Amino acid sequence: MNMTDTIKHHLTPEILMAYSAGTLPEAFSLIVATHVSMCDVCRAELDSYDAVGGVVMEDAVTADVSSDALSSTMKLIAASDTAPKAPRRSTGTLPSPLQDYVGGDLSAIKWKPLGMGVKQVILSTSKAATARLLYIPAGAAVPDHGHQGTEMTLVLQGTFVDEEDRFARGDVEVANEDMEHTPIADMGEDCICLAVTDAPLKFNALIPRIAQRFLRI
Amino acid sequence: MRNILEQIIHTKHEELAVRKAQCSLNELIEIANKVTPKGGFIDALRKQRRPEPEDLPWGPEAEPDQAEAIGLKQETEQLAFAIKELPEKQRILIEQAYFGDLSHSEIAEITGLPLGTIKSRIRLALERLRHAMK
Repeated sequence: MNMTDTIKHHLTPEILMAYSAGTLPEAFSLIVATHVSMCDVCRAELDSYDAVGGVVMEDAVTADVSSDALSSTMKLIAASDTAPKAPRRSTGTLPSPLQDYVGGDLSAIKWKPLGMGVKQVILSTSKAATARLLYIPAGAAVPDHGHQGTEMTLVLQGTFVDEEDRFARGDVEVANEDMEHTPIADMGEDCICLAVTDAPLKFNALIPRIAQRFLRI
Repeated sequence: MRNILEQIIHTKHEELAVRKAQCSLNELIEIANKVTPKGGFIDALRKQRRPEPEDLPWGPEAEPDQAEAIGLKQETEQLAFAIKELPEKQRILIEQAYFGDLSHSEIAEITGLPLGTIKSRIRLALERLRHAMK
């Protein structure tokens, strides 16, 4: 699942650092873990934030543990399986962290139609933010929408373009309040994305403008 | 704090178990000291479930050799020094981000500083650290 050389759009330092510190809502942690699974650049940057966190912790805290902490831990160690675990790696389209939520690869996704061929499924995470998988048929558009909070979109299959740029597998787009965009799937292949939001999307028309679905790119 | 610490030691035991075959007790304790402060505290302090990335293709890491271990230790010391040398305003924000378990907007609320100021101070701090580690 190594695609580092083709990924052009990465996670921001803020998001990676917040993941390292453990302050992100579950849905955002999921998109970070999924992107990092595909992107060695962000994996290396994340390691550096873990290192900073480690040093900060080491300086800041000392505490006593109960007197049997060592012996109880030693017992746990003695009882553990010593065989190294097989590395957790996906051979499918969805990276492992995402497969854990879907319950398998692409074929296990239980899509719900949104109309005009666009489908979605909402993944079960804590309520602070929402993670959904979106399926956009080749050439179709996701209805034009603005954002109240932060929306992050990670491409898992195919390509989409919007007013900002072009996003292929592994690329992640971070959109905020000031941004209105209409992602359109490339003609070549149906597009599957993981989209995470911390506030509901604002659609700009009462009936979302799916009429644009056969827009030429 | 005591409970959290013990929880960390316990959750880390699997990682240690893999190595126990090759280690003496003292070495094991040394490893435990090394692995716990790093990701461990952070794991235990996390409020929410955190999905983890896939493993790298080359599988579980082999025991680092002596030279590598010394190199890592020196880098950690260098990083600790660089963090101490940060301007106080920047250092406090870095510490709060990890230790206070607060998001940037929560820090903004508590300190009354604009979110943009917090973000730019953290960015500056990270730039300095990156520079110090070159």
